[in-house]
Amino acid sequence: MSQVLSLPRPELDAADVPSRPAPPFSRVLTGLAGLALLGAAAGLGSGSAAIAARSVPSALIVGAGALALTSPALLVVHQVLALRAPPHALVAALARALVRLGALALGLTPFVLFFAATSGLAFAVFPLAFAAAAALSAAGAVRELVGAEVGAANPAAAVPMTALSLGWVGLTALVGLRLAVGVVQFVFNV
Amino acid sequence: MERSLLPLLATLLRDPRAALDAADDPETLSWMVPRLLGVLAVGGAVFGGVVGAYRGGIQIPYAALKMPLLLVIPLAVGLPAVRALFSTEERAVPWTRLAVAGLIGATRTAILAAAASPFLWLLWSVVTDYHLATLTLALALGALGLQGLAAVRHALPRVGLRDLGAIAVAVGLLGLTTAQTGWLLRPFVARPTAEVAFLRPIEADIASSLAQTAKSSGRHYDGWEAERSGLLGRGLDRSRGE
Repeated sequence: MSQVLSLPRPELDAADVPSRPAPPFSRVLTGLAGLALLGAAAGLGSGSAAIAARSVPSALIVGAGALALTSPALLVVHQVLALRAPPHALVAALARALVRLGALALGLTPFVLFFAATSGLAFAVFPLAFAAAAALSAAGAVRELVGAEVGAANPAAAVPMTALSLGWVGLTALVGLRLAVGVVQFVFNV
Repeated sequence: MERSLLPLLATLLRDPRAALDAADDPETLSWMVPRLLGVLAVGGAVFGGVVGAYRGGIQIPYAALKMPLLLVIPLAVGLPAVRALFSTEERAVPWTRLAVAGLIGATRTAILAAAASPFLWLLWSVVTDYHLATLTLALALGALGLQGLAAVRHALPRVGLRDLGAIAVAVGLLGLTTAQTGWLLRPFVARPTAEVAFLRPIEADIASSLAQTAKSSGRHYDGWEAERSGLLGRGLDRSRGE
């Protein structure tokens, strides 16, 4: 009876399990353009051409910059914890998060532009819009990262991978905040 | 769906999803859109006229002309964000379907607003305080707008608990945009002592206006100098911020 119940479990190599492909580079570029447009839209409400020009890369620096600075830490800790998802699957998940962030930024650009054109609230609405986009794309990134790990025939690692992903999101948020302080100083020349 | 105005209005009120699904047919869409715009304009004008009746006189046609814009401009600004919030890598929300859903929602709002006009008119016959009148208008528009927004959900993929964040962002964004649009197109109710104008200069914003209104309603009048603001209000100065 125990022999019937204890079926042999095939040992799958994580590299053999198909993972979701990375987004095409054109979509990554579109995402980056969305972040630049969001910053440009906010800058137009400043009343100053110089501030408007310096605002263009602001969302790009904070969003893509924080992601670029913290992604290596995620990949390294993932390997140290001996989790099974192949690195390329994690990189693909992070790329999809960046694409999502850029798409949300692009969708929110008319909203920020409206306030920049009709009020002095552009630089109040801009961080709110960016924070909302970042929070939603971070939630999606956690789902993608956990999915990549579980998809690597490792469902038992869902909990540690969730904890690792949430820790990475927290680190990215802190790095993003630090970058934002520098960006504000640069944009407003203080 | 029968191609006639009254059945269209009935469908909009009873089953907006059916109207949206009918618009998937290009011929039905080209028949439906002008009629939706017409009903939106008439319904918005009726509600706007009642709102302007608080002050009376020329304010009635002024508000009647502007109210349909208050229903349409926030959608034009907010729908790209709604699409981005609810599109996924596997399934993008079609632009046409989303735009038609927005138009259906705005038209529903206009119909319900027109239907609510007698109640508002009666209420303002009794409640004559300006601040209470504007608050009543804001609450009415909020309630009507929310159900109009509900019509937009028919264009979106099935939403669940994991979309709560996106829903909150969409509602907040459209609410803020509607409030700022109302400020931009002011006056609607018009202060009893203020000079009536079709539009006021682009100055200040809805947030500072609400703060000032809250102070005034508490009898704290400290004078408020609203400054021109925004790109349309003051332009871009090349010499500032170097």
